[in-house]
Amino acid sequence: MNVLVVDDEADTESLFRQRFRKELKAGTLSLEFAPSAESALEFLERGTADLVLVLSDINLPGMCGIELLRQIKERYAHTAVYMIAPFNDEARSAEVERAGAAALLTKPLDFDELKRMMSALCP
Amino acid sequence: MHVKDDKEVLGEDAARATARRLRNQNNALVQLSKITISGGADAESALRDIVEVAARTLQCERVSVWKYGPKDESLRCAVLYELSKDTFTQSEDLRRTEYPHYFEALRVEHRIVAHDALNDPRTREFRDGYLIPLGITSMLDVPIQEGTRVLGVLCNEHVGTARTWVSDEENFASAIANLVSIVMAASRRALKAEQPLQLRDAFQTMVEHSQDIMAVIDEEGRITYVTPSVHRVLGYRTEDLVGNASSEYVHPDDLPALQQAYRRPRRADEAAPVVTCRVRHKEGTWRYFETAGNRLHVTAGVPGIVLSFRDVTERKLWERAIRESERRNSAVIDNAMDAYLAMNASGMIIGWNTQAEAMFGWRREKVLGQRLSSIILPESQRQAHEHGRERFLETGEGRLMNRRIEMTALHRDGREFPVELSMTHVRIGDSHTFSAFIRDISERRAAERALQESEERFRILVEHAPEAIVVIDAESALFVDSNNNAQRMFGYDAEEMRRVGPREVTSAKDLAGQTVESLVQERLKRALEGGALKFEITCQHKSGRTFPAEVRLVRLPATGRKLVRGSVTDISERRWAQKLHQDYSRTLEEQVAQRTRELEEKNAELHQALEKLKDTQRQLITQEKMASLGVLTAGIAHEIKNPLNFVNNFAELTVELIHELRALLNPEGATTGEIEALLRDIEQNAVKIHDHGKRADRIVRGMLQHSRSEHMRQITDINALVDEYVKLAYHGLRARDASFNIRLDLQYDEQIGSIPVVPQDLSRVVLNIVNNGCYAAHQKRKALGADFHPILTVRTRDAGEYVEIRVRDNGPGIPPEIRDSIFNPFFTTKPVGEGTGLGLSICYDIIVREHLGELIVDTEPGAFTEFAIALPRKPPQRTRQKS
Repeated sequence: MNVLVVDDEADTESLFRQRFRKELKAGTLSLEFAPSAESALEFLERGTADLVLVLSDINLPGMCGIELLRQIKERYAHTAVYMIAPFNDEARSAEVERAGAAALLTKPLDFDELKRMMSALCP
Repeated sequence: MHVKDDKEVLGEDAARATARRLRNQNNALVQLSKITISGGADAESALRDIVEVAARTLQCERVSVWKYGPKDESLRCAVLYELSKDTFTQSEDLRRTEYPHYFEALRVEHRIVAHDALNDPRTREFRDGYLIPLGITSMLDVPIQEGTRVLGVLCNEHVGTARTWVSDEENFASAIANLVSIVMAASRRALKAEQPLQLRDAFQTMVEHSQDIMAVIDEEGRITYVTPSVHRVLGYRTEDLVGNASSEYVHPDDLPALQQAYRRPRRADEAAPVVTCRVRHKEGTWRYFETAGNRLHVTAGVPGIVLSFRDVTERKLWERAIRESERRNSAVIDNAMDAYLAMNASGMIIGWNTQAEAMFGWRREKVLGQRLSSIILPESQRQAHEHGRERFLETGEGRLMNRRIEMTALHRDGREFPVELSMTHVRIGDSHTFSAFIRDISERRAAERALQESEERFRILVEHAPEAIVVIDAESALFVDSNNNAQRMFGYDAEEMRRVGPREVTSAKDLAGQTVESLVQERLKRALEGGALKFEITCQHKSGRTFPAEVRLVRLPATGRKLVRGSVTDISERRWAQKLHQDYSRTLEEQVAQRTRELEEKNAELHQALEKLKDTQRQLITQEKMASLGVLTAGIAHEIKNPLNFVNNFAELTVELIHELRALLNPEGATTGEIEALLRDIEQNAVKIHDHGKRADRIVRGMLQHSRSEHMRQITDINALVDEYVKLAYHGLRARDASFNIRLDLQYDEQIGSIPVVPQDLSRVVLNIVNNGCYAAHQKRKALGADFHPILTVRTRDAGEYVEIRVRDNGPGIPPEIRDSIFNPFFTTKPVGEGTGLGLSICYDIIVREHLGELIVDTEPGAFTEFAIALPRKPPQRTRQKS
């Protein structure tokens, strides 16, 4: 499974790679990282095969997370998008859901739950 | 030797005059006793003789006999004799209808003794028609009686100066009238019986019943006849005396004088002297008699001397007693403090003491015998005095008698002065004595006048006092005095007020259990004890109406009576006003209480509202704070969360990796390469933990710095400050980044001087903005390459009330979509880790809130960005606020 993680925090990659070391070692997962919405969209345009999931932080420099979400949903409707926010509230979850996100996750991430959700995506 | 005093002298004169008269009268009677009546003609002539003798004896001009007509309605004149003319005439009948008073007087009084016939009411009727024409001034009318019946009247009319009839003259007239009556009776009998009647017999009868004793003494001095009256007077029966020597009964001391008087033979008509002698009463006491006598005609058939004895014992004793008492009193009188005067019946001074000499200025010898009224009375009063004296003698009534009177007296030197005198009158026999004690009251008058004036003044004061004033006699509990106001107040007039007192004007209403009587007594008692009382009481008007009053009682200085002065003030109005006031006060109090309650309620409401408002304000402030803080907090929370997130994660991972490492270090063995990789990761993780921790720290510190309490203002040189921190920023940036270079264009206005600012905060602002500018310009250079020259322009300017600092970079400018966000807390365009994003929001706080200045950004995307700071020269005072 191919997953794109969009987050401006540099250490997010180090974190994810350690968290998913088993899967990565096993080759069941491949992770890509983009520091901004724009670079994420560029990546998507390059058409890397089988991007199943985009995990994006809501707060991004430049284009914000919600806009990225919309763009992805518009152009790459088959790609699921999980949004990550520092906290959750009804307004946000409604908005996110409206924009087409499959889920809204809050930091700190529950990686076990994430792994479960991801495995559900890819039978 | 006894020197006779004035009274004695004058008294003796009077006695002598009386004696002379008596003698004459006796002689007359004796003479008339010789008349014999044998017929009518005899009667007529007898009457003529009688009236002639009467006239001569009395020395009275006109004597007449009148008989009553039928029913006593008229009087007819029987005979009239005129002395000076020695003629018998007639007079007209008198009718009752014409002279009613006279007839009435005769009927009632029988005898009329009119000293002043002209004015005497009984005889005044004759005045104009009879008295005045004939010159008659005095009248003596005596009834002619037979038994009890009055047949007529014997009239004696005196012509000339008015005379005062004395008692012996009256008696004599009565005797004459008796003779007339006898004559009339005799003539009637004689007419009938033609029996000559010896008047002597009748005379004898008359004489026998006379008061005086008559005796006939023969040649040898033996008593041959004595009238039966001797029994009454001396206690002897006639038969005891007849035949005895008269000398046996006469006092031996007086006998010589008596014998002397009758020894010498006298002529028949020669009068014998009046001798006073003492005759022994049968019981042995001596009685005084005045005797007058005459030798009897031999032809009378009765030889010897006929003597009449008048008992003057009483008089003598009186005279003696009086003389004694007067002798005793004369010393007293003579030395009395008051002047003593005495005058006789004629108004002549017969007494004058030493004090009188001093008071009136006359020596005694000068005034004795003078007319009193001429000496001591002012001329205007003399007439009245004389009249008064005469009237008194006549009527017994005297205005001045036996009471103290005030009058005006005359001093010898002509000065008039006020005196007080008390006069008494004593009559002894025929002698009248008027005595008077006189006191000069000039001084007293003056004092009285002064007192009167003072009383008058006082009275006016009291009368016009606005209060009602009363004076109470504490013993009788009556008002002895009251002023007009008091009378009006209680409804009584002045007279009625004196009959009422405090009891009558005190109402029983409102007296708790006490009676009016006991209350009045108690109050008066306390006032008398010396207290000055003031109390309120319910008073009562005469009509019964009650009213409240305030009473003040005080004792009046002792004047003998126990007097209490009271002043009464009607306090109805005051009470009413008090009540009104109370009502009003109460109403006011209620109103005020109500108002207060209302106000308190309102106050409470307001208080509540205020509290609520305060709460709300606090809430708002809090909310705003929260809002701004919320923004801040959200930002902070977000910001902190991230590094903390990593801290947690990497810490977790480190633990996991250590586990795996441990697993690898098992006997089953692991490749060196795998171990190395794990160790590398662990190391990295630890570093990252450290870094993120520091990041969190920086954020917090930045936040704390922002919310720390305010710094003090100091007068600071702006140009200096700006210059320092511009250079600091530049060097700091160059130190961090070797590739960093920028041209500084610095233009400072020398006119700015120093202004009050918080230097630490302003320097932070300068640093921040300069940093931003440098950064921006550097970014553009990095993008555009070496051909782009970054420039930072810093300018200061004096703008009057403000000081301007402008920082302009030629960087990329601010895109319009984020321009409004740049001052938001945590908003940043920088990459993560470079700055907290708090910079501009803090700058905004510092410039706008703390320094009350302005922070404005001007930008042109792609060209420049300029931040303009305006600081006021004299920031207005404002209360510190915690931001």
